[in-house]
Amino acid sequence: MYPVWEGVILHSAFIVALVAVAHVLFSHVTVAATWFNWWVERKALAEGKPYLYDYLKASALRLLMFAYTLGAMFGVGIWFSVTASNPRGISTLIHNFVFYWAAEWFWFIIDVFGIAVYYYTFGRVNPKTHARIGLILALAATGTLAIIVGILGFKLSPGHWLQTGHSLDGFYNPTFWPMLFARFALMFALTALYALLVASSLPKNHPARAEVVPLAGKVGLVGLAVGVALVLFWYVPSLPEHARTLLGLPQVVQKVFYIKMALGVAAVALTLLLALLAPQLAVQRGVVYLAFLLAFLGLFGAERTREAIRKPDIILGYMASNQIIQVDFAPRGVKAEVSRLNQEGVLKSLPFAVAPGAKVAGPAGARDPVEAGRTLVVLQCSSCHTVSKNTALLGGMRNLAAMFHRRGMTEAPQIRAYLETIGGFPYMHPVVGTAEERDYMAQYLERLVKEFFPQASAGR
Amino acid sequence: MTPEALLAMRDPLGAPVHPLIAQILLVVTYVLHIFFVTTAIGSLIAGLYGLNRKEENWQRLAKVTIRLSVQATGLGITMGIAPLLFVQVIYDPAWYTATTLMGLWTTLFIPAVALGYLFLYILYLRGNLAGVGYVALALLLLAGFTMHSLAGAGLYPSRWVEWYAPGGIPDTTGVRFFGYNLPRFTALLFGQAALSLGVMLLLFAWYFRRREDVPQGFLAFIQGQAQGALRLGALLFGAFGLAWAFTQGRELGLALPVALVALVVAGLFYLHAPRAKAEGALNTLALYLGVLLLVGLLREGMRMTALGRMGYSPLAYPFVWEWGSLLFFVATGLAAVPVTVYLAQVLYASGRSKEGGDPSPGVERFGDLGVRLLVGWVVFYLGLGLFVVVRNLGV
Ligand code: HEM
Repeated sequence: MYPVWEGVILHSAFIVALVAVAHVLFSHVTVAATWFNWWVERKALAEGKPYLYDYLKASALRLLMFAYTLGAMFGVGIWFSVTASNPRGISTLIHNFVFYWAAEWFWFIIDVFGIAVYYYTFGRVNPKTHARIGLILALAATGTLAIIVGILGFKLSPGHWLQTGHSLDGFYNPTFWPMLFARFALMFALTALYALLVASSLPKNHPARAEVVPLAGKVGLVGLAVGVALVLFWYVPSLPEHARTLLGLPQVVQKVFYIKMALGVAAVALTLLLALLAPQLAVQRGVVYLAFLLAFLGLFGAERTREAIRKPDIILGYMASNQIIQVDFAPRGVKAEVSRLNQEGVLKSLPFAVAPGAKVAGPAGARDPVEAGRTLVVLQCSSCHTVSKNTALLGGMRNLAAMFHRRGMTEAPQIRAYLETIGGFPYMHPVVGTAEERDYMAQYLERLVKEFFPQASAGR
Repeated sequence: MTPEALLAMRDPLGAPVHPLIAQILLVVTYVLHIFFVTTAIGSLIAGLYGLNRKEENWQRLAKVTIRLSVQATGLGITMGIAPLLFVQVIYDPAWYTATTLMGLWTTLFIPAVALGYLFLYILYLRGNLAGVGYVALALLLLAGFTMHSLAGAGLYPSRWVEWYAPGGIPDTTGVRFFGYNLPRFTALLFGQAALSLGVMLLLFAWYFRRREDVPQGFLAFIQGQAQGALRLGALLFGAFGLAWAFTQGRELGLALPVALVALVVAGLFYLHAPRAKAEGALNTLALYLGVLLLVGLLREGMRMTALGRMGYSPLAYPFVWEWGSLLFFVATGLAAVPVTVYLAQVLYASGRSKEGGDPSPGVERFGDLGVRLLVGWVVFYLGLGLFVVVRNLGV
């Protein structure tokens, strides 16, 4: 177990989510755009429409500048933010999949190097060679998506891996196929929006506009329809039962998530329809940006939902969100950590579970119970909850103080009793630690409630 | 932190290959990473300096180096991903302790890199917005310093708990830097940046020596600046390398090896600088890559020594041979490496004259093969998946 980084001002998990969604938006645009551009370039060649190259150049430059600098980078950014907020979770992924990521790294190199070669060789090599580079870009970009899908899906549905420990079983997991095809389809909808944006940068009467805009409308709508259908009729049914249960629990997936998703889909669909029916309207910058914004919201809802229905685990059925290994994992001789922590105590067992006097043997009198409680709460609860004023901007994330206050639990004994029951919720694990340690936790939580709600103690 | 506790922090899954393989990959890919990022920093500084000078040659040089900086940054970042993977495989206790202790900086790292890169692009496209360039430089240096601190903090397990919880009270905000050593940072970043710049300028002069539209006078100027950069790099690396030896080096009982490496690198390049010519650029490059590898090995040796004192050896990391993942990796490499080579060949050919240039028919055939390899990879990927599905049906 490592030191805990709670976040500053914003909760660490919220920061991860922001970075992740920004990345998903950019990266999906990029992958599909490589296919879209390949198609347009072939059209330009086959139908003798050199003016389409103006579109391609404009698209490639923006891809080079934004999609790769911001988009691809933020993929690595997710990684950095999770190594800070959930190191043992990412460690599990690394120790399983390091060579899949290393394989993906080959594709990154082609992506980053290739888009530059693609852009700088416009008109400097023969058109056939240039189109081939476009195809290489498309295939390599698809390679990155193809690999990350396996690793992402693993967290929610590790499947046979739990029995065999083979990375291949974890990679080609139960949600792998539907997620692969659904993402592949959906990204064309995002790319279509991007194509509108690029088209809007061309002069008003540029002939490429008339070709690209309706094409984007068609491709995008098909992608959107196929993608949404795949999610609803294939992805959701193939989720583990636990996850499907949580989908229906408003405490886990609030209604607004669904609203956001619906809004995102509707906005994108409308904009793409517009591209088909009234192309001039669809290339209004304002319209496209608004559609992007709502698509961002929708994605935020969708990705957050995917993360939420895995609760209380970071790797479903193996490791909890608070990084404690819950089960024995026979293939590698890993032992569950819960019972040891309950018997020996968290403060004794974990190197960074420190508090003033905590390592001193003997009667509890040597310890500061509230500070010890803080350490324990931070370790066990902070991956999903705001547990201090550090991360309480706009109330924080599932703020424990607010939750206890709402339930009218402002004193340590009530909180202590409640702690024993939380394992009953499908989205939480039981608290770990010795009885004494649970007392400490309750004492800290009492202080926390009173920090956030000073009137709560005064009123009693 | 006791030795037992440190060992217990290793991931219970173990590594998926013999740790030596991960360690070799770590050092080799680190060398590629540092080569490109130091090129990026060196050429950006040279570019910003050139923008300030009135002379035509300097203005031209600024254009060249700023463009170089953009491309080197992109590649440097990409190359950084590989050591990032492997360091987590065999040094997870040290790496994750560092990333959580400096949580805020770890998280801000990529936004800093991404923004720096974006600003760099703007500088490149606009040509003369030096202000934007300085912001880009500051952001990239912040990123480099963060990396440096993450690597450095991992060397001091005995201080981790005190860093995390001064006086026993954990600080969970991750807003402080730990483990940095400014001489090391200066030698590894600025010293090597000057050397990388020198090497790249020589390569530039070598590549364009046959192009009629590039004036010979300019190429001679470039070669002169390359020699200057190499000399400057030798001095910086020597001076700050010695300072590194007597600070961090001494702390870890490694003053002598660090000092020796610093002197060897400095001496080699100081003597080589006046003789470095465009025609011999490839030799200089080879020499430099050797030197970077030497420094990379020194860093690695330092880490092994520091953690070894706590009973931690990366080579004793528990492991299994995870054949599935190796198969996946090797198959992908077989498809991707030829394609990367092909792209480089196209770029090389397209720069041969002012108007561009086509690759030879042989290269074109190679390109077709590349596309087939990629399609073959997709088939492999889907086929492997189907195989796994079918095999699991019976279970
Ligand atoms: C352009 C911005 C960057 C700069 C200036 C930079 C600079 C550096 C420097 C100076 C070091 C050596 C530190 C030391 O040993 O004291 C280093 C190491 C490293 N960098 Fe970067 N870096 C940059 C971006 C990146 C990125 C984006 C990644 C990851 C994707 C990365 C990953 C690494 C890794 C993994 C190491 C080695 C860690 C180790 O062996 O302990 N770097 N970098």
